[in-house]
Amino acid sequence: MRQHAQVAQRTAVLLGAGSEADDVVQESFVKAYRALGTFRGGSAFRPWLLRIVANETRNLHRSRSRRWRREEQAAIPDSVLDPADAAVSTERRRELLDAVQTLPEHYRLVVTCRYLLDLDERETATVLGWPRGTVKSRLHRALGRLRTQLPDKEVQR
Amino acid sequence: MTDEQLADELRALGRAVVPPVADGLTTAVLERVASAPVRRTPAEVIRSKWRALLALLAVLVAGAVVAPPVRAAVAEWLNIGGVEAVPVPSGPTSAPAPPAVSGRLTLAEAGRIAGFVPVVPRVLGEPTGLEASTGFVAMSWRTAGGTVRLEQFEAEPSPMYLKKYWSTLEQVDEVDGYWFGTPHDLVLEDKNGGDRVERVAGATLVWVRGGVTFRLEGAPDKARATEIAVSQ
Repeated sequence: MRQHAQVAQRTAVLLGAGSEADDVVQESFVKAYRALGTFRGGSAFRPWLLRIVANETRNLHRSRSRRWRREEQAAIPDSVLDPADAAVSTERRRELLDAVQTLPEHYRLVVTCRYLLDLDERETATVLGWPRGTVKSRLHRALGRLRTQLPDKEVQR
Repeated sequence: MTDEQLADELRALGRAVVPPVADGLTTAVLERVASAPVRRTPAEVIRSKWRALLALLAVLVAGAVVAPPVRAAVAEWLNIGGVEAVPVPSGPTSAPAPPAVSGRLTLAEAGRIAGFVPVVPRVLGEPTGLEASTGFVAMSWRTAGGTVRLEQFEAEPSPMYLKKYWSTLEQVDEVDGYWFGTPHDLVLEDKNGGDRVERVAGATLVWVRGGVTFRLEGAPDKARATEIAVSQ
């Protein structure tokens, strides 16, 4: 359970549930439980669960104002970043996160699932409910967009 | 910077995001699914208050009153040590006896290979077969009722075994484990997340103790399996 809860929480936070992430996760688990009958055996449980989390986060966004969304999404706080993980410097993390959060919705979703959550292409397609070809093409465009938005790493250091 | 470098950086960033899971999540979810499904329309309005009430309730009862069948039904979210259980709509109706272990290691040898000290249930005595690999020990006994097989392994970060069960999953409080009462596909998950059906397994008791996951197969019923499990 902890493993599933942890990945559900990460998904909610990274998709922009902000301060409502705890509620989104709880709601998702309850929905998942009630929808267990629709879970197809033979398919993976995790993407199925994460799709529910993604839908719940989207519902939350729909029920909130544009302003709330902007503020909460931008507010992936430094406190959720593991300080012991020094693979990427703090400033660079901020830079990357900010760049991802300001991407157009579809690009933001696909980059979040495919890279930040490190799902594979098929899982990403399941979680977002898109065809795999769409995942591929949007991902490609999203990366291009990100690269133009980000200051060049080599130049910066 | 190439797309690949950027992707790697994003992955590293994602790994560093570890938001804490709310305390009492399990309890709250169990509380809510234990009650009948609530229709959303009027409930929407009072949702925030309702949540607060439930949260309070959850703290007060701390999971104590959650009905056992509900707890068992939710077990597909539980990783029972190195075993993950997923529900499927149907499954095999019979299972062959568990494979006997052919190796003849001594306990000390097995412990050295596995990297942990294996446990031998007292009520079964000396195993007739014993083998080991890194992080894993299997032993079996020939009994009047057929082969009994016990596997012990250190829980992996990702599940090692996937049990596709289709009937009920019962919680066994004595060992804080789960009893898979019906035959089920035992699936081995490889490092790349691929699934491979290992074999059909019969009724199995799974429990975790001291960071080691135990799978006991071949016991005639739940009571006997439990007796074996607690006799360590």
